[in-house]
Amino acid sequence: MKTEDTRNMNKTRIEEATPVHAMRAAASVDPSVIVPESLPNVLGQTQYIDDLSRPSGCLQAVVRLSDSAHARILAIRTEEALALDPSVRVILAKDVPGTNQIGFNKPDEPLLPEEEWEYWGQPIAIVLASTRSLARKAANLLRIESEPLPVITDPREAAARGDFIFPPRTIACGDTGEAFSQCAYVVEGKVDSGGQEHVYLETQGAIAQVTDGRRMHVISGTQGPSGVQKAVAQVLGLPMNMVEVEARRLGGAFGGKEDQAANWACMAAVASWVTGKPVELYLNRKDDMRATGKRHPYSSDFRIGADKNGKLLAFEADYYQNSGSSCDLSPAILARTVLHATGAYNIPNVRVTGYMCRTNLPSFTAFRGFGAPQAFFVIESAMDALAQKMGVDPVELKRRNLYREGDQTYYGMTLERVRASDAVERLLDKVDYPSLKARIAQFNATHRFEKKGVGLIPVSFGISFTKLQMNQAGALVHVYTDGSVVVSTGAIEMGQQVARKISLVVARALGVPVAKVSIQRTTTLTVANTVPTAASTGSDLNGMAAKIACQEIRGRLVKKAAELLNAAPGEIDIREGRVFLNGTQSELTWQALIEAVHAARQDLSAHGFYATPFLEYDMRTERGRPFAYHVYGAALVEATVDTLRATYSLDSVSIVHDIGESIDLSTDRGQVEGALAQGLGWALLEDLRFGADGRPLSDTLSTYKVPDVTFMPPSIDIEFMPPIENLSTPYNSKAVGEPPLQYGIAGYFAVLNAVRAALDRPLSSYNIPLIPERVSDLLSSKSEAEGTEL
Amino acid sequence: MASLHVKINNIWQDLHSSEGMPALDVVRGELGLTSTKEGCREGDCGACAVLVGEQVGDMVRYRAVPSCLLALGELRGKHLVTLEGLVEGAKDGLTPVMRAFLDENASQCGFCTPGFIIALTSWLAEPQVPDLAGALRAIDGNLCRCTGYGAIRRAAALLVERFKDLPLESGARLKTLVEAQVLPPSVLEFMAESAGKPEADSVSRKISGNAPARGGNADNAVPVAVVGGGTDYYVRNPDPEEGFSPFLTRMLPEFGQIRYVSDREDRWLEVGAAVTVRDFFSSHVVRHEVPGIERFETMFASTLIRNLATVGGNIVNASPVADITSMLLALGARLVIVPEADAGNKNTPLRLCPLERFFLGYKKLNLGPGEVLKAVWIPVLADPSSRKFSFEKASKRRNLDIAAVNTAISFRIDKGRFRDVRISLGGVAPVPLLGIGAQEVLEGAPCDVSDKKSLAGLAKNAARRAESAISPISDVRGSSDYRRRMVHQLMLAHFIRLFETSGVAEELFP
Repeated sequence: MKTEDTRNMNKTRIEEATPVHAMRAAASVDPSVIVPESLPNVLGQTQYIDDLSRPSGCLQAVVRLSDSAHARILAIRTEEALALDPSVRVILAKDVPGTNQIGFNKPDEPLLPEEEWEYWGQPIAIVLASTRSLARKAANLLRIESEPLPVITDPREAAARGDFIFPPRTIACGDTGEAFSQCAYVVEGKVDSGGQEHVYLETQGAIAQVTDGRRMHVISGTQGPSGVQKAVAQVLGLPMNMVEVEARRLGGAFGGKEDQAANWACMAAVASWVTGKPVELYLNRKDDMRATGKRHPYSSDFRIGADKNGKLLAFEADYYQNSGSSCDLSPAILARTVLHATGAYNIPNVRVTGYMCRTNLPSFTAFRGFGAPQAFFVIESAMDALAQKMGVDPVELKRRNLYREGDQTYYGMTLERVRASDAVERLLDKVDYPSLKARIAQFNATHRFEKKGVGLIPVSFGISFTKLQMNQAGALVHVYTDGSVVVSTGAIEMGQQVARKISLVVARALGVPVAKVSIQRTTTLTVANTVPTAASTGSDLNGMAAKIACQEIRGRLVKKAAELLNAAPGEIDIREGRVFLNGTQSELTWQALIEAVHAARQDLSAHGFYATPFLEYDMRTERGRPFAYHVYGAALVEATVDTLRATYSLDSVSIVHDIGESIDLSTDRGQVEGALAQGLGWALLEDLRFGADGRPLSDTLSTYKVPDVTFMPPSIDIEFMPPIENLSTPYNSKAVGEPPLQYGIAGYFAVLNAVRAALDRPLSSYNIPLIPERVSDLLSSKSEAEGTEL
Repeated sequence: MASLHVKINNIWQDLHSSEGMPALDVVRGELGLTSTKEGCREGDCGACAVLVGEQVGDMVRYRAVPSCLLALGELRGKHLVTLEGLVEGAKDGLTPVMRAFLDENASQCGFCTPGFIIALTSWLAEPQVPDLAGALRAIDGNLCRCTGYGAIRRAAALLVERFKDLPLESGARLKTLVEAQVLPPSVLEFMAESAGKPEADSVSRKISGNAPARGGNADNAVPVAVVGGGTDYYVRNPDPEEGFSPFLTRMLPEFGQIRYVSDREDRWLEVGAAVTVRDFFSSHVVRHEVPGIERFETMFASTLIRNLATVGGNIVNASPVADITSMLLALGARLVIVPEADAGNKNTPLRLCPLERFFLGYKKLNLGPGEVLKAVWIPVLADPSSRKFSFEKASKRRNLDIAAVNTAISFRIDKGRFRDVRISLGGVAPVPLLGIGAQEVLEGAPCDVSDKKSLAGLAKNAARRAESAISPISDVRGSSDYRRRMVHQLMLAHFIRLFETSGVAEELFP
């Protein structure tokens, strides 16, 4: 099994740590690597939800959103809206035919509110009309009478009142109280990180159509069709076998369509059920930005201590997660926070507690990183503060405390194939850190308004859903009689190019050229009970399931080929659509082999199922092995601050990253670069704001800025570490979606260090995003008091 | 209503939607050209970019614009190209721009891809020597949330390499690009169809003599919207009523000129209200009269927006922080205002209004019912090279972001003294401000470039005066403190920029 795999993977074999630019050339030479997946994209032919031709009679739906953060509903008057046009229909909570509830972790999320709304921008009513423009105008004509209720937006205030989604969660190890008393250095501080809007370019939407008067078909822009199926069934009061959900390629998702795509699918489905007509619901940008959840803002306190040599002894943190108005995925996100509390560092005594604080803001939800970036920012801030206190270079302090082979984490997992130190040392070598420091010191000494700084972050990111039962996947593979292959898995293609990866896995596992493989959309009929494509596990889980299905079919093909060639199955190999006998290509073609199997009345289809092995976690003791493996890496960012104008630019980023054995290098590179951009955006630019009254203040792309091409540094140097064995994924690959997002945090510290160079006095400020206004605050005397509070 | 004759990709079509509809809705709806995506409907993402070809003077020009902010009526007589049209002539089914995206794996989810392809195609079509900086500028209004722009940069670099030898003459360049299959053959058809015709069909747009009056602040007037580029109008009114047919200033050639005019003994540079921001900064006469102004072009929005936004629109939108307004205030501009009913008539009586007297209050204009802004007059100096001009802006993102504050300064040095000093400040009051104490500090003061102490003293004094004269509000773009602080800093930045070699920087920050 192992040898066969190795023989088949000649194409993407990486011998040494090769710079990506060198490998790119190699990748684009082989035409079979260009999977036609993105061909329709560049032609503008990919059909996203709003591009599909609408079924005849299709009504357009618009949601009417609440215009305050918390209120009791007194009356909703529909007369004026209905009078606008005969096609107008209004759907309220009372019209939901089944259970008006889409919260599955906790039933606290009605599809439409019955008595009160709990955040500004919450959908109150669905308004239908023959055109979207009419529906929008009618929605504005709904008269809603309400009575204001108190508004809380600050998680610490909610915590003080004990208003939690679920009870707090604590992981503890050793005795921090005793350990702190042994420390030569102890610092504590407060860390804040803001929310982050997904800004998937395609907004959320769904098309629902009642069929045969009793079934529901929904095309949903979702990362999790089975979750949508379950929710739709619940709101319609149908068994799941009467609901089919289909998910096509998404125009970006990033976690925003993991749980929160269900809302729109359910609304379209209810509207279709009530009217008997097809209904399309496609949010405009403003409604999407107002109504949907984002990355959770956190406010945290830390305490960290080290001995006189800088060896970490103890760490404590309290994370106040701003969960928003309902449960959604907050507990799972908090789990990832408390399981990444010490970042890439080994700390013997740890006590961390996470609080899920209920506020009157949109229900914050999954966003690439899923609670880990917030934890990484806290531990990196703590390390920075400790280094300041000790008067040492934070890089040295970090090097001294990285996880090593065989270390046991504070939640009891023994780490294997640890590469944290390897990544950091490679990175420091690569950038020639001592001369980089000298160059920066020289620059800062000779420049009046410009100061440079660097930031470094090591990353150790656990892969697997923290909820054990979610680590499973299915795939359906058919080989048609013309030799072409079609695959459907639970993996939703949303720009992460999971389809490209799975097609390469299938091509390799089956032994066909990748051009023969087509990855088709996911529907709940082809693959059932799937988990969302999330937690960076899309290609790991679904790739394995597809591989297992392919191996089943391949077994039949090999047997038949052996028969036809009068050989033993062990003498047969199939690669790139050619059949080999003892290493020599035979006259038997792929096409002839497929036809022979079909003629022999054997199954050319298979369903593969995969469940990640070796996972176990005891929630009661908070001990176990929650992750299949960790992804390691490190990044260094260099930035220049213009101290006159309080602006900055990112000069360069250097990354050393562990992708195991890449299935497709250009995909992995795109994932690292894309995650980096989102991480830098979160750390430095993306400024999600709400008023004290809960009003969204950054609900358009003119007020909420994400990285553009000029924001990104001109130089991004990515080195992939040498391959390593990894048994729980296809072909020793590693998950890549989320880990590199943390690299953006290094950008925060690069800018902070440049500001420090300008001030020439101690400064500790840990508040994401570090927008120019905050740089100005730090540079001005006003912040002196704040800045030295530690 | 007369139908709109537009060349859509390779075929002339008569469109029946009203002129004021955002082109995006017609392109995606009526025409079914769904390669054009709706991403934000406010020009901030570039997913809806389309290529518009038009005759300008005796040549045909193609530029990318955001179709969500484009009035359909603007397309009259023009050539609209979407991805469906770009591939029409491509033998292997892909244009080189598309091929570059495929080769570099620069399309991930794919939703933003058509906009990037349009923007880069437009960049290749412009008569300049392609370089990477230019390519990146061309896509500074396109957002991608997947790639982090790395692969897109690499695709752009491939195009720079491949197309570095394109002819610079506009017609020859378009022909070469058609041969290279970057542009479709319909571009050549359109060039042939346009040759010899009067400047497009745009002149045929009649201003109805009995159009209802409108006004910026007339409460009882029936509003007939006046739309320039639409880049502000459609952000505020994304979903106009059916039948919406505004007065489109860009359809009147008189509104689109840059020329010298005389008024008694004074000479002015007239910039038509419908001149695009792009053309304003590209204009040789503008650059001649305001040396160095082109350095500030990219601080205004994005390439896509600059291709569509107009100088007049930026003023009439009355944002307290409008960038062009800020520059024109410092330049001492006057507005030429005419009755809308006679807007197209060359002999219509004019009303002149100094720009600083045009803003009466927040979004309240000195513009009567039935009046429309026709042009801006910039004073012409006897020696334009004596003009010193600088513009500064504080915003979260360098490109395509609305300022927290902005400021421009203009003066000349005459016999060793500051003369005609004008300093504007935006984002600190309900209207853009002029003067605010700082300019009085400088007017007539000695200006000796070898006396860095004196210059630094003036800079500090001006900065302090400006800072203390304002009481800005706090909002999502910046707190009151931040705005005040930035006003101070940006005043100093003006001096450091304009007296770079004098050593004033060292003096200010020892």
